Amino acid sequence: MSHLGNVGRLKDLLCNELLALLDSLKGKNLLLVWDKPLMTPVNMVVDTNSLKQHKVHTMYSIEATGSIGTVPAECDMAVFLVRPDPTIIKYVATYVNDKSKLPTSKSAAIVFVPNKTIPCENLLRELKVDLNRVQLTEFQLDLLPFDNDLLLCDWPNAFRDYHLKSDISSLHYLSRAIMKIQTVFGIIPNIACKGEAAKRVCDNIIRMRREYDLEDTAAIAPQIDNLIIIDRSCDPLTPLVPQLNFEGLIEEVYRPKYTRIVVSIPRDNDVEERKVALNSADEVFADLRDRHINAIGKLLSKFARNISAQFDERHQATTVAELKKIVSKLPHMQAAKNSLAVFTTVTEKVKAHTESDEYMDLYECQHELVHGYETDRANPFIESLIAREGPLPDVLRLICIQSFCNGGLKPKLAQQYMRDIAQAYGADKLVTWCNLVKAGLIAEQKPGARNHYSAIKTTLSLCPEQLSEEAPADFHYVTSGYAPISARLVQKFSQPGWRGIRDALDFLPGGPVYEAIQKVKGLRQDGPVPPVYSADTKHNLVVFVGGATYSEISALRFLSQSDDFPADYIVLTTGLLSSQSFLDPFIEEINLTNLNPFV
Amino acid sequence: MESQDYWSDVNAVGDYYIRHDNVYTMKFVRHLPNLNSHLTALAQYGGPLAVFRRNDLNEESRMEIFNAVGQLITEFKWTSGNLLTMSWSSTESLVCVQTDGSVLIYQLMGGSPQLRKFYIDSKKTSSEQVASAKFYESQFGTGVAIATSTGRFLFLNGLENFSPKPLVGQESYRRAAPGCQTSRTAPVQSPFPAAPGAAAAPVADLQPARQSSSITIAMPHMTRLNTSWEVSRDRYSMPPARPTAASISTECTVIILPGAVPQPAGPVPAAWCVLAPRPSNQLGPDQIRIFVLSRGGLLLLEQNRPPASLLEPPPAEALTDLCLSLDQSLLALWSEPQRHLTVYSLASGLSASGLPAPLSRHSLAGGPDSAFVGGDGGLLRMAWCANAAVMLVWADQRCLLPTVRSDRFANRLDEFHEGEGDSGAPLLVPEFDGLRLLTAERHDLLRPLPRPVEQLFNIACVSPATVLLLAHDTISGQARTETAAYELFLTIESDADKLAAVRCCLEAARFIAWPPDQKRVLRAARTGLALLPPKYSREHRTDELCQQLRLLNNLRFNESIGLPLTHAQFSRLGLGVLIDRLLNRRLHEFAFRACELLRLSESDGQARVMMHWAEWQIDTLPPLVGAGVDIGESREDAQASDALVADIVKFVGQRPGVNYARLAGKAARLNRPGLARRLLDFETRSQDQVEQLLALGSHGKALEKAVKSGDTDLIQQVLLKLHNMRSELDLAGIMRKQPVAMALYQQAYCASDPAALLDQEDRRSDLAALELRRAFDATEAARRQELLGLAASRFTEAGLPVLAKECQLAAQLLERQRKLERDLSAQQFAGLSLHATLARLLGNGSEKLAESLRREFEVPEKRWWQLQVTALAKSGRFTELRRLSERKSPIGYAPFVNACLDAGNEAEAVALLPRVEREQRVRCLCRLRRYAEAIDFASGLKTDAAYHLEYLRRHLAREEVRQPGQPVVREAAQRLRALHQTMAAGGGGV
Repeated sequence: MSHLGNVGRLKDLLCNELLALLDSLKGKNLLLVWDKPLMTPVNMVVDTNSLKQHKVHTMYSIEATGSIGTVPAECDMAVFLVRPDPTIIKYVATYVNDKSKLPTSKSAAIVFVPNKTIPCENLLRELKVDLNRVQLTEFQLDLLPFDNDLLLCDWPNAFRDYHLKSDISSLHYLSRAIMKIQTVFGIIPNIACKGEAAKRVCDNIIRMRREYDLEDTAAIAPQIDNLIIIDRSCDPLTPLVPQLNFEGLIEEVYRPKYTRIVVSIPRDNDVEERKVALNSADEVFADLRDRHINAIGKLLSKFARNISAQFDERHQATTVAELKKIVSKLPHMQAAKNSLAVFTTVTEKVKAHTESDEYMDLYECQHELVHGYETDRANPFIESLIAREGPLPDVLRLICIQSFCNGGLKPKLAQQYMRDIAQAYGADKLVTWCNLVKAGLIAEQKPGARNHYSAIKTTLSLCPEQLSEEAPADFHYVTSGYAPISARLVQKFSQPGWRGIRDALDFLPGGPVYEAIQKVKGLRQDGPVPPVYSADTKHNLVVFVGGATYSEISALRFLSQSDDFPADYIVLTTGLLSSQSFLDPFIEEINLTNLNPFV
Repeated sequence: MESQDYWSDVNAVGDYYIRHDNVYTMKFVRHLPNLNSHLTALAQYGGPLAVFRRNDLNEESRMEIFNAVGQLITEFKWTSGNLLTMSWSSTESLVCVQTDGSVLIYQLMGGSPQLRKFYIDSKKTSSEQVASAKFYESQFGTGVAIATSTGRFLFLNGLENFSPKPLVGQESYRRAAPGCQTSRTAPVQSPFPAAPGAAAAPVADLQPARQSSSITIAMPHMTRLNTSWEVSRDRYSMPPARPTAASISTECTVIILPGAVPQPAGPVPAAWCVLAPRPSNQLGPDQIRIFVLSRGGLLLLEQNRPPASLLEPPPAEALTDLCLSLDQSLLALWSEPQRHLTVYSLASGLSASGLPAPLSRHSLAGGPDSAFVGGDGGLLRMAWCANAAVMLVWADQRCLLPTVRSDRFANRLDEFHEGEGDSGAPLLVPEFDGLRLLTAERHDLLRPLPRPVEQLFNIACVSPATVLLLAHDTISGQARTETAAYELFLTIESDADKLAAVRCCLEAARFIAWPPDQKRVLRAARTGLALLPPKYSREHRTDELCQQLRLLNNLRFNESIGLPLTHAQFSRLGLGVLIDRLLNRRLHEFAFRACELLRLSESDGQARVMMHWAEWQIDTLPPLVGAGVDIGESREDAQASDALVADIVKFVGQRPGVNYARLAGKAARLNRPGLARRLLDFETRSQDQVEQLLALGSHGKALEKAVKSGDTDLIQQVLLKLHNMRSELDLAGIMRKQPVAMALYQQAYCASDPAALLDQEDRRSDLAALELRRAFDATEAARRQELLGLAASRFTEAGLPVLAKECQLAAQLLERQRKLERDLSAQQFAGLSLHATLARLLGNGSEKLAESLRREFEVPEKRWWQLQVTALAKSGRFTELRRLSERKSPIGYAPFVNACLDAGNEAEAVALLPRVEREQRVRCLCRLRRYAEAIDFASGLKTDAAYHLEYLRRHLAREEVRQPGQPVVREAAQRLRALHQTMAAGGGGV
């Protein structure tokens, strides 16, 4: 959707930061020791070749079990690329203190990603690590460029940590990521945010700008017009509703790690495992990703026809020139053919998921709830699901949806659901229930309080009537009937502006609405700043505090393609959510020590 | 000084032409007939003059500080000990050395001195004193070296970079510490008794001096501040990016002259000088060498090495004086009675074997010139003039001797005697580009002419530059002689020559000190540029030079400033250091204008001036009216603070480079915490703000600001501090308002006891949830039951009766389960959910027990039925299941069929099929794979036929994918498709 096209510059910025860090180390040949989970994200910005060109001689990785070998003779310094995680730190400390592993003649450096923390430093001191010999530094990998329009500030549990533990770390790093974006694309003049966490992020970036005295950045002409920060707690509904756009479904079914999935493609009698990176570089995927699952089949067959037509052309080629042209197209066609095979397999698996009885039943139930039918009473489907001891995450998800769509559950109903769950799944699940209540995902209706959901639904037209899955007129196709609130907020920000939907904004949970203007040198200092980058298209950075779903991202992409209000959107989020993964962090697996020695 | 006269003040000395400028006629306010009768110190770079008037009959000793033109800057009474000598450091502090080894460091504007000390071993030799002291410049700033009366040499590097951090583990330091501490923190008045010799007693027994070996007395470690200007733009061009907080060991080094006899009037060396570590020479950071003239010969002494004798003069002769050039590359030695001056080059390094061959050698004994070398006594002073010549001064005579490659002889410089009175021999201050001479009447500067300037003015040569200047003079002359000028220009042929002429003139403008002459050559340069292609005028911008010269002229001719810098000195010093020097003189407004004039960036320039101004304001605050810190500020103090903060904010404002935290730090050091807190409110950098607040002890506020900043690392920093002093603080009180901080604190420090700190009203529910978690961690049923009870009461306290009730129920269930375990032996129940418990009972056939338990826990009807169906089917009790199905089921009969199928009993499922209600029938049929029946049934339905058919279609499609090639599925699917087509053709309903 975005045509800023310069997200690569962010990648270069990060890449150069790490390489400069390596260059600044005093060792001449480095041994790079990876904290394994960091490999994929770091490799997203820096490739191995560049590392090798910057003094890295050998690489090890820390595995869950087993220990790594001694520093090779050629290397005079060991560099540990680690998360600020106590277990890893302990591991590194033992290694560094072990003279047989790291001889005294050699030095070491610990590079914390994304941040050096004081508890970690203390821990190292406690473990008697000689900090004169071991250099501590950090690589602020605050954002991962997933795609041209999608950036990730990797804090998968940001929402849970903020609401359950009041942990604001993710907000700090998210703010830093926005600052990085501003150093590349200039100060973003207009800021709008909804929700308490969003307000905090907004405050942070305004404060950080003041602190850093960002004179240089101010010199860059702003290339992004608006910064819209949305707190997940304003729209907890969207991640609860399963996504039906292709990319969203892949998220639900495959749970990709850093956009990479493994697909098993049947081939003759064998199965071929193939690693696939999901991004816009893949032509087929770029076309499919935002479509409704029911539209995928036709598209795939169209692709297949195209490719075979192209392959057939070679039979008609008579002259050498024509042949040459066809040969030059072959690699491209081959790639398209490959990805076609991949995505056909993916589609089959995804369809099997969406067409199962269980899925359909759930879909129907949540469809009713989202449309606001009888959300007041105990939902028979939820009841029977509990009675059958169906999957607890599904049960909780439906209850959360009902709670949101009813403006909180009636106290009696909440009590009933709670008891049902305690009796069916065990009393220890009460802890999970408490978590959900604390995070505001399950609320109890206050006596006399009104249910504002229908007002919100109407103002933001969350459930428009017309639904076409193949040629949609609105983006509610992404969930087959429900238009994500957050995407609507972004849409309304462009037209008619948030003032026009003030009531709905206030009814939404999560906290205050706040709009601010960042002054930019050389621009009009009062009032909203006119678009500067291009007269026609407004560029927006949409930040999701607490994670975003692909259904939202697809909705925004849909918006940027519609002709009504030309706008481009770049999404920055703390994580990618699915209806499965959103609630997972809240479901506390209590280590249920068995009271029964015989079972 | 007319322009034509320029050459008349130039003397040829050796290969050099040395220009003599009269900088000032001195304007001393108080009469100083002869500077030689006082102890004096004149600073380099046109710096101040300090004059020490020793007490006479009716007056006390006093120190007077004048600027270069003789105006009094400040004066103060001298109350310390016996002053031996003094000098100015590279940052224009006055370093005074007393005979007892104390070193006092005064700021330019006076104030209380910083104190350092040489610990002289006075016990062993009762009267060891400082005999002489030398000052030197090293990489670490100004250092001082002393020679004691017993022939020991002691050094202190980096005098001013002083931070009281003890060297941990040094026994000697720890014992010395009390003495050090008191003397360092002692305010204003001297802590030392005036009598010399007795002073250093407290630490006298610390280090036994071993003969002829060097010993080291540990001195407080020095930490160089990485922020100060003086460091990064030192005169010796320090590399600007130094590792932060790298501590430089500036120990007091001791070298002992071999053969020194410990007696009161020991063999004090005749003369000596210090070779200090510089980036240019090979000495390590702690390495120091000295040249000593001892018994007529030259020795090289170094720590931990035997002394090397570099030069032994012939028997009848003795070396009596020596002088090292400023850059330490040349060494001049003077010998009596032959009166030889010998110059050696040290540029190629020193070897212990001896000095290289001399560069030059002059003899003043006999010969035609001996007439004016009639000074009776020994040589009074000796100094280098920019490596070009050596100035020798006797009490009434002086002469200039060339350094190298010349037999042309010395110039006697008698033009200084122009003044009427006898102002005595001048003070000498070597500058890197010349030599400054000061008497009570005149301030003069000798400088060798740079090559371009020489070319321009030398009467004996005609260079393009001379022609350019001449042409320019012709134009600006009265007669209209443009033609003549043009013809003159034409004689400079090539562009290269024209360019050379322009460069020459610009160089001359830099060198010339007299404004009209400056203007003349600058104009000539501009005229020359006009004749050249435009790209050259872009390359040679004269504006900046003009502005710099304007600034320098102002500094010099404004006599209240009196800072006569040459342009070369200014370039070496850098604008930043110049601004510092102006600030040291408290010339804030002038400094501010200078920054503006030379377009210094805001943070380096104006903001720095403002900061200095503000710091000075804080420094000069009147003393507190109130009683002290503990009682709090008095109203007057609060008002004074408010007014000052308002002033500072008004003038200084918020701009890059302004640091309120630093001001607050200053205020805090001056014991004004109230002012510090007020200033901190204006700090925008949270890091600095929070650190200062912590230092002030405002823990709550620090935490608040840290949380506000959103920077978790900063919060952690505060928490660490709070944690370390938790015994002294009301932690819960501080954190009550900061849940964010509390969460972090618990994560970091209360992992073992997460309940700590939670016992507050608004955190009760968290505490209860914690208890609940703990209950399920318990491994013993009885203990869990007890903890559940506790959790229940916690929930009640937290105002959550529903949850409390659930906990009670859980405890009750546990109770029942334990009873069941007792009743039904060999069966385990504890820890199961209610559903699982009931299912197990049903599976056992203990229906009655199950029923009563179900009643007790009020399991609703529908759920109870579902539970029974599942449990019975699972345990294979199909008879009971059949019996149950005969009753009216509130959940319908589809669950029965599903349960049978889940248990793998298809026959039972088929038997139950007829009871399944219509809406569920198709699904059940599909599960039984009776597709034909299902299609028939669905198409026969009156309502919802389409829905069921659609379900069938989807189901069959899925089956086709899952198990391809199954005939049953394929046939059904075909039939369904046909049906769909007929329906579509028939326009709907069947």
